[in-house]
Amino acid sequence: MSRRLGIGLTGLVLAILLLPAGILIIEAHPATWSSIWAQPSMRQALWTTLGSGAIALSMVILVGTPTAWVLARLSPAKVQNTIGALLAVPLLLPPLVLGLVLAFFLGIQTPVGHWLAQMGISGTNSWFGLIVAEMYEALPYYLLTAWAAFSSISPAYEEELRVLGKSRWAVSRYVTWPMARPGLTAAAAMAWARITGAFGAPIVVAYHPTAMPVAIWIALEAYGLPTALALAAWLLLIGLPIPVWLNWRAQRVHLSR
Amino acid sequence: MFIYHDSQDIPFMFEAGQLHGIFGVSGAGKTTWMRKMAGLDAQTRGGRYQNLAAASAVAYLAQTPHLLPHRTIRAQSVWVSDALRTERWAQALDLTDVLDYFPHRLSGGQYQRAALLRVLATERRVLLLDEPLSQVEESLRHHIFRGLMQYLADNPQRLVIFSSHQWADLWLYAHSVSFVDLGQPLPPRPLPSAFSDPPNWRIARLLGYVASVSDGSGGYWLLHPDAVVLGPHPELGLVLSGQARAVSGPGDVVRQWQFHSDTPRVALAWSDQAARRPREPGPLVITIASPPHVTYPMEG
Repeated sequence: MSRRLGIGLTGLVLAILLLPAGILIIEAHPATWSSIWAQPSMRQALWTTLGSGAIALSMVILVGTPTAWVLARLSPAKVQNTIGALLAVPLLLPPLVLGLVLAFFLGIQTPVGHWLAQMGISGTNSWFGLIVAEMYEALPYYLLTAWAAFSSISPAYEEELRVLGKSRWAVSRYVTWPMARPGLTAAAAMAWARITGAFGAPIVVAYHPTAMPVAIWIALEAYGLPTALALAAWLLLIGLPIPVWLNWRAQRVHLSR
Repeated sequence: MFIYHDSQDIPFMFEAGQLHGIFGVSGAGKTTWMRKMAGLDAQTRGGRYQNLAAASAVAYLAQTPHLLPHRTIRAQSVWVSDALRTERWAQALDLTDVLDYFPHRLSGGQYQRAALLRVLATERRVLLLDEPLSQVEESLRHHIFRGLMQYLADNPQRLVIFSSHQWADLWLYAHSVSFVDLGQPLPPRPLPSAFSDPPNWRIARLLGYVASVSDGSGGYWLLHPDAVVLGPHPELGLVLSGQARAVSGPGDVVRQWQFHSDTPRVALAWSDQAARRPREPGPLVITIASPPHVTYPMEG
């Protein structure tokens, strides 16, 4: 009885959670898909999200992976706990607040913005600003997930092979990387979802170039809900399949052990 | 000859081509000591080998080893050695049938042997094995220790050091033994003579000595139940007279004999066996054959 109740409850929760994506896919018929594609500004938003997102994700992985590894190997545990608590700040900072701070910090009136301007880079309303905003929204999630992935690998795996004469590099390729891969994949998937969905920070820092979430908001204001929904279906299409596929792959790797 | 200088520069001399034991109670510091000898834990001050770089000549087996979950036993052993040596040692360790398994399919004893395989197959000059066969059944353990002894006989320039908290392993297979006492290892001493001259009462107790008797001039005799001979035999050792009591197990069958001497007052117990079975409970005279003569009494 309680088992049936449990299954029923789980099914209900899953249905509620999957409902929005389902509605979006059902509502978006071929006509709306192509009508969006026909508008240059909408196509532009799609490419902006894909282009800036690809760069932002690469940067997040490039910066986040080594940092997560160093954090996972830090001792004593007290240092790790402190840094973990500190990382909750960027993680929990409302994206809109983050956008305001970034807009101020990268603006021409601060030394950083001034320096950027001298280099010929505009800190706000630019690809640079958009990518920075997307990175800020994704990096804490990537870092914490990758950190957990590395932490779950006991240093003993590496140590026991190092003492048998294997180099640090060889051990990280043969031991650390394959063992961390499922966790890192999940972290990258989460980062991609955060990047493509980034709205709060980009709307302040980079209204132009307009990425998908901001474009959806503009469409809602200008043309109403149906157009915004159709655009949202496109965002779902580019934002979700990669994380879902990566997650599925990561799980499969786990099970095939 | 391998010479290792510890952090206080005390030399530990190990004869090459031999099997050496490290012995102490659990928690005495055997693992700490072996990790130091393996050049691990750089933050604690370690020692050094004479004419030997630990990083290139020493292999170490951890007490609770970590096999890689995502590689077969063969793959990870070949990775640190080569295919031929992996095959050869797999045979010696009775692992041929499971060589292509992933670690999660192995039993506890197989897992431990697979970890040992990974270390042995490197055939480095010094092999440090921390409790290598604690989960392996008796007959197989004997077979493997014999294999190690044969390997050393064939390779007289190599050295194998293993730790154990079971005296029987060292007694049967080790050429020499280092006692680890209160975190401090003592330089190795040859067996069997190390057994008859324990350095202090804690190690004496670990070796099975249960009591001591004063010799009246500042020295003591150590009493071991295995040395008990029935009847007075002054030419063999120390004669004690006292009372014997039979201890029965389930079914009222006598399992053990307890002996309390009159003067001095010491107690000994031994399993019931034909050679050392008193005719009946009550007054009894026994002899402790060749008791070690030491400078300390038993305590604790």
